[in-house]
Amino acid sequence: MLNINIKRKLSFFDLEANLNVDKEIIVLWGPSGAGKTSLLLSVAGLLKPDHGEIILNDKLLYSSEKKVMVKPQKRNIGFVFQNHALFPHMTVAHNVAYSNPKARDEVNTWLNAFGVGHLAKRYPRQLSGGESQRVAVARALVAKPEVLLLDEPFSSLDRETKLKLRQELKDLNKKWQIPFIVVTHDRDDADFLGNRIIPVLQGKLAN
Amino acid sequence: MDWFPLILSIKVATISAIFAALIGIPLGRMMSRKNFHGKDALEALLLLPMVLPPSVLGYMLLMLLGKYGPVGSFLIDHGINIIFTQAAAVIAATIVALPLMYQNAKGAFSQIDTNLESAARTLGASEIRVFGTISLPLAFPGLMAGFVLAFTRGLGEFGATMMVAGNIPGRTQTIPLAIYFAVDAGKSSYAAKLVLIVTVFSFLVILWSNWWVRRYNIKGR
Repeated sequence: MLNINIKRKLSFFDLEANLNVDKEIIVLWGPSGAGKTSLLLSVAGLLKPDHGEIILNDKLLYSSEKKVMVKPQKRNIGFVFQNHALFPHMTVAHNVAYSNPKARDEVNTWLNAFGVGHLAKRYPRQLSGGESQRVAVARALVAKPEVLLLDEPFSSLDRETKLKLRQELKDLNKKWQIPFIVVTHDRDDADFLGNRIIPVLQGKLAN
Repeated sequence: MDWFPLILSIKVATISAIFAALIGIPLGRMMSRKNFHGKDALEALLLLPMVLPPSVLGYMLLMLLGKYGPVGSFLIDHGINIIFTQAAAVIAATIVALPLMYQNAKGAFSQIDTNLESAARTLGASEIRVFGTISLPLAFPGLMAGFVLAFTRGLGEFGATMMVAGNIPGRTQTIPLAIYFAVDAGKSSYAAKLVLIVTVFSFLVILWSNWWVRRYNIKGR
């Protein structure tokens, strides 16, 4: 269970979020620049809110009152960036093993599970958009996170690949039984994925 | 043929480039990532040695490190004299080389997508690991270019070196000084030999570094 109750001043408006997420897929849906990514960054610990608190499975991650700000390294929250942020100088296998370099043996099992086993020795620049996204999700999940955050996961994919990957994402959520928070501007993706869809406009969540 | 100036110059340039890297790389990373009060002033200060005449730097160093300077008098009390030694040549070369190393480092780190560092953090990597496994390898070609420029700048340093290290043949005489004083003394053929050596050597260093950076880019990215 993830409880978010934060406020943060952004350039043009204030971000205000009050949200409880269970083992489900929550979709934050809204136009670009609505503050969706800032909310994800705050949950991951990459952006510091001004007020409020974030609690993950009874663990306090952020509290303005108690002056707690757990570093992203210690939050155990997976993040799939919009551009996937694969390390360009490492092979797919090294990317996926990054969170746990000792478990290289496991990596092959992981890569096969995500259908990218044959790409282990390739570099990110040699991957298609869909392959790159699978690798990014695999890399985040190898760290065994308690929450997975995905920022516009389908933005760079062709329609066919997108339809396939969003079904896979839905299946992954059932298998992993952790909260997924997906940010998208695409209503169709939101309807397909979301157990709950939360429209975001000008930093406000419409609950 | 006296090889001492060439050997000393390479020694001074190498050591000063290493010092410039040790100072310039962390500063470049910090300045490319953090915003703080007085950042512009610090930036200007770091680049100052690039625009000031070397004789001005030499004068400042003399005032600082000389017998009556704040640092110099303290060191002399402890039995260490810097002025007119090889150490002074290294200090002068480090100061003129630092802006080149710093600027290249800052540029190299600025070009890295910060999401890559953020991604590494969310995967549990400590700040040191983020730096060592993400920032450093991705910035490496730029850092290498900065290091080579710092090295070649140190190799050619003349004005500040002459003021603080002097021109003692066999002790502090580097190639640029040897050339100047050889011409001054009418030893034209000796000067010509040194000019040829330093030109060919510098050319090869730059050639090698460009080749290396291109190969690194093909292999790594």
